[in-house]
Amino acid sequence: MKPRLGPTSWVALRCLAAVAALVPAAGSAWAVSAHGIAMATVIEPIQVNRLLGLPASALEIYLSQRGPAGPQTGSVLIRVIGGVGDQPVAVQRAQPSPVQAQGLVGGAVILDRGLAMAVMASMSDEEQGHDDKPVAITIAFN
Amino acid sequence: MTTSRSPSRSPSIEAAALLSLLLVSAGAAAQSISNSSSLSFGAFAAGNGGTITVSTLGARSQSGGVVLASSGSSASAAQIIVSGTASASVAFTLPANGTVVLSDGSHTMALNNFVSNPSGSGILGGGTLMLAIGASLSVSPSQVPGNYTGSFDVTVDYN
Repeated sequence: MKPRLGPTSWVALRCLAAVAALVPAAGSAWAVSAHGIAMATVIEPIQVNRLLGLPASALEIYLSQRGPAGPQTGSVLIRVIGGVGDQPVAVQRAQPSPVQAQGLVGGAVILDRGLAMAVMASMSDEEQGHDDKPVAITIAFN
Repeated sequence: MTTSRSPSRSPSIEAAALLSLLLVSAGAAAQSISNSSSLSFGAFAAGNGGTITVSTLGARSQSGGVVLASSGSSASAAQIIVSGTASASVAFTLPANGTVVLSDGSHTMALNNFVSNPSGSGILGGGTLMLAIGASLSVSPSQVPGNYTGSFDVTVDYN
């Protein structure tokens, strides 16, 4: 004769069955995700299309940025055009200040729009044999 | 006639109910993950195009013709805080290559090569774990200036 389960036993069995169903589900339910945020700012380069060695005002830089391309337009960003020998020379890095280059009288530098106040440079005196003297370009920010 | 319940049945019910409560509460405590800081590549000019990489330490480097600007917003790694049961083991899943882009609304840049520290998996030592995330940004030569943003998903599996 089979033993009969009472009502209490049925309740206990149902609870155990429910728990047993929860256990395997718990492992897969504990995977959660989060949204990460990423950002970047691409800035517009400014070309300085004039002989350096003289201070350039913010207005001049502004106009230079929007001026049409021409023979005096240097390569953008990391290259500086040598005005005499027309030899392109790489600027080491476009940092706010100072940027070092060699043997140039004109060129292009990179500036954040709205931050540039002045661009200055001193050029070497070729007649006195200092044509390979580094020329410093100082870029000032406000 | 009266029926009497066997005293031996009650502990079974109580044990089952208690176990159910424990499982539910344990699951709730282990599911906490929050975004602490964003992955930022800072400001740069596209130049001839190239790649910008931000490490899990927030260090920024470039390859190709991209020119990094030191002014403006600085670079940083993303940080995600994972919380749960102390000493629990967790595994991380980062976005696959080709699935995340930054956009300015009209133009995009691809975000690839996600890395994390710790990498792959970790232990919730005191109940929390700081996950640092870096990646590489592909910049085209004609990348249009602007502010680019995007989002990515990080999945945490509680082992």
